[in-house]
Amino acid sequence: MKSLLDNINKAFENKSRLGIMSILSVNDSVSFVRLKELLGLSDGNLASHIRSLEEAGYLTTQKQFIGRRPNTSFSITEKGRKAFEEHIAALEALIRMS
Amino acid sequence: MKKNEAIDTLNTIRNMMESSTKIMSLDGAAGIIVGIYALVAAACGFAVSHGAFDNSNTFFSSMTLVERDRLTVLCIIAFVTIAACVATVIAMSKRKAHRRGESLRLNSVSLRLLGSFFFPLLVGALLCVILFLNGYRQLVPPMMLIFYGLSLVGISHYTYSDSRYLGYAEITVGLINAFVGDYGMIFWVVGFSFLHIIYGIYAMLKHK
Repeated sequence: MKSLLDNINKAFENKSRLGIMSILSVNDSVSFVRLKELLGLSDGNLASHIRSLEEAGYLTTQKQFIGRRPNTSFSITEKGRKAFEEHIAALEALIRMS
Repeated sequence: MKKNEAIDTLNTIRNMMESSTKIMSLDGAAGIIVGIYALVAAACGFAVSHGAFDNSNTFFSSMTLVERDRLTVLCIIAFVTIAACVATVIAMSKRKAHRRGESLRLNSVSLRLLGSFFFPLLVGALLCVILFLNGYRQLVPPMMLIFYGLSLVGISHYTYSDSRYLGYAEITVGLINAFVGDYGMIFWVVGFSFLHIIYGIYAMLKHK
């Protein structure tokens, strides 16, 4: 039998990735700079976490220009939202159980 | 994963959700100070409009005012008060943000907060000027209260959600004032001074 706890998602065990998903789950679209500011991560660090979440299909990237400056922003995908909600439900189940 | 870890993780999630959508550096103390400014401004306004400075026997004999000048003085008092309130709120929010190890800057959240605060206020200000020019002076104080209340309800999505209760209270005072029609000065003091001070004390106690 598959229990709720199996939904604890390995992809979200890292604190930075959890932070990225938390922020994206309540904002339509968040820029790279804003994510960096909120999470206090370096460019390289944030980029690598974003890449791994993107590879898992949990977020999408939008690249555009604001004036002449390139601006990259990110949004959560349906798949990402579902996985994140299941992760939270699993955490809540774990707390209730013990 | 243990239970404590799960609780910590959920707290982290909640904090990230909150700090990415809300500005939590508004300070209750700023509410109290703004309330005091409003009280001082109302006292000055009352004195000017009731001719305290018109009598040439007073200490202010050099400042004798005629009707047209009174209006100018009242406008100056209003602008100085608004500027002082805005400056105080920004300065105290900066200080609080600094204490929380954050920085107050223009980002998507603070821009939305400013937009939803100033849009109703701007519409209300225009309406007040129109009402005044058309001779409906009694309606100006209640409209100021009502539109300010709407601004507070509007920003509650982007800051402490309690701010909407202050907004509801301002709107209620404004509607009662509009119904009563008179005593605008008293309602204005209740709304802009007393309610701010009460809310400021409540916010300080709650978020200490």
